Amino acid sequence: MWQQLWRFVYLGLIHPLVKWILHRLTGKCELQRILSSKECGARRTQKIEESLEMSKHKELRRILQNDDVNVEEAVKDVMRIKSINPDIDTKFHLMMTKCLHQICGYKELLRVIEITRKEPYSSDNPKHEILLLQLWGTLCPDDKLESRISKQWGDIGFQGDDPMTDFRGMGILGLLNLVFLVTKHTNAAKQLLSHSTHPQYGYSFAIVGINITGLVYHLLTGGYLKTHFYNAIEGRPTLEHFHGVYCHFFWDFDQFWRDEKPKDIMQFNVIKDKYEEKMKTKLKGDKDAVLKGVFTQMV
Amino acid sequence: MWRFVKGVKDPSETKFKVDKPLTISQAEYNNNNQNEAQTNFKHTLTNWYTKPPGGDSIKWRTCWKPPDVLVVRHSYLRSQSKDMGLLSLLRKLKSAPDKELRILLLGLDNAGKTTLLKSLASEDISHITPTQGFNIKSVQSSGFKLNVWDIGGQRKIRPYWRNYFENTDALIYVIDSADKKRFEETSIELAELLEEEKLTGVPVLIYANKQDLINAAPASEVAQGLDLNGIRDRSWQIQPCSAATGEGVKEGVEWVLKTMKPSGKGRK
Repeated sequence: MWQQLWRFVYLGLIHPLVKWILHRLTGKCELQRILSSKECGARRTQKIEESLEMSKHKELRRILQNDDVNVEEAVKDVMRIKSINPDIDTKFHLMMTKCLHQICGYKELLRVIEITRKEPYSSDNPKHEILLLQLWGTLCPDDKLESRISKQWGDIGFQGDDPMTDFRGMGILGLLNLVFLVTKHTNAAKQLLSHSTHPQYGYSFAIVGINITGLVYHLLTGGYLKTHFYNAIEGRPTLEHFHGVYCHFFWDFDQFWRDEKPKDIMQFNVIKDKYEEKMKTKLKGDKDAVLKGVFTQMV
Repeated sequence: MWRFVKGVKDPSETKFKVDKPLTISQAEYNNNNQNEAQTNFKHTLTNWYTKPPGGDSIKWRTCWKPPDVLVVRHSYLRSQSKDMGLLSLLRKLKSAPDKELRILLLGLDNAGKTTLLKSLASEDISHITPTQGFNIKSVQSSGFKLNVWDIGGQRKIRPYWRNYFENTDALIYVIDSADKKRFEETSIELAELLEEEKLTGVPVLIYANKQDLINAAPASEVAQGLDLNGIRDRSWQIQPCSAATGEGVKEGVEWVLKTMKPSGKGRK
């Protein structure tokens, strides 16, 4: 009750008042103050995002709501509405452009991922079939796949004779993630596959991979990956970057799994939830967090 | 007044469901230590988390108003239980628990067990991934608390099924009615389950799932394929359903509850 009242008073009165006073004192609007006081990265970009979200100007809030925002135009709008003189604040234009590219890029990525995820695997689509066979060919170059429907799929951790049924809610995104891992990081993928055959700490490589897709997808939609993307990438994050993050999480989870010394595979969901909680705390709590490693560097 | 819902999904939490909005002055609580309880309550209110009904677990926030569901971390309960104890307070507050039923959800991989589980719990079914290990949810249904265990159906995992047989009140066996090629495999698995000593006499509900697909076999054909008429040692039922659309799911659960009540199989 008191907190609600406080929130109301703070957002409705105190916050605008403080902004107004600071504006008078420094001669700069909130966006300018954020840009000049915070280093480039998640701290700055997320503050800018918050500031735009809370803005009293509809045009500024709309930058966050609309799809396909033209960043150049948006920055011009901001400078017009906030009457920012480019001759006085010379860096504003450049810094704001960068921030907006990051913000809009994340939203764009969300859309792309959603479309990819919603595309179900189809045996009639030659592109899907090629990807699936590529997955097998790269991972097991020495074993020939006897037929498209085969018990052999079980060797790389699919559940049945036809991998099609395993993609489920992650659709083609799950397959693209796996194919990226095995083609771009073939050695790492083979190492993971060999870990997955461990008598005690073993797991089903492919379907764990699809579960990792689910995990990364939830981190993305929950906004947790903003910290990483805003810190690690200057421009707009792409599908490739998402794949990189996926590989990072697969590798990292594999280590976490073995460190947890599970009794058997039945512990999977408990340990996965624990890992997800850990990553969320890390990405939410530490604004400087970056997922470091070979997987996220190369892209 | 409060219903106690033990957190089953995440063992590090206990969930408390509140039937009625809470008020800060808890005079209605017939509690000997009312003052103490009140202070404790006030003290802890901001430390509790609330999950908006139907909301995403990510959006938990510190609560400032009477919540629908309270989630209290075990570690917090432990830290509180030394002085007076939030735990004992909550124990006093909870009403008589519902009858609990342990329900086992089994079937081949891709039969739709997890989708069915989520459908039972009225959760979003669009992000499902293959189950490694198991999922568990508890669902409230007409005075019963159903603890539903969804165990992965992959061939590699099937040997672990037996670890979950103990104290099972009902078995739900899920079949992909559109996957006729595997009717034989699924019927062998079911026959083996029915011979398990620990599952003797346990009623079995067979969901002929995926009825929304055009190539799905009707329930009668599934029943024939599985030779269900040969089951004589327990009550059984076949229920056509579609976990994806939700059709037929409720009817199946109703049958389970109906078989539970007269026989008094439900344990306290």
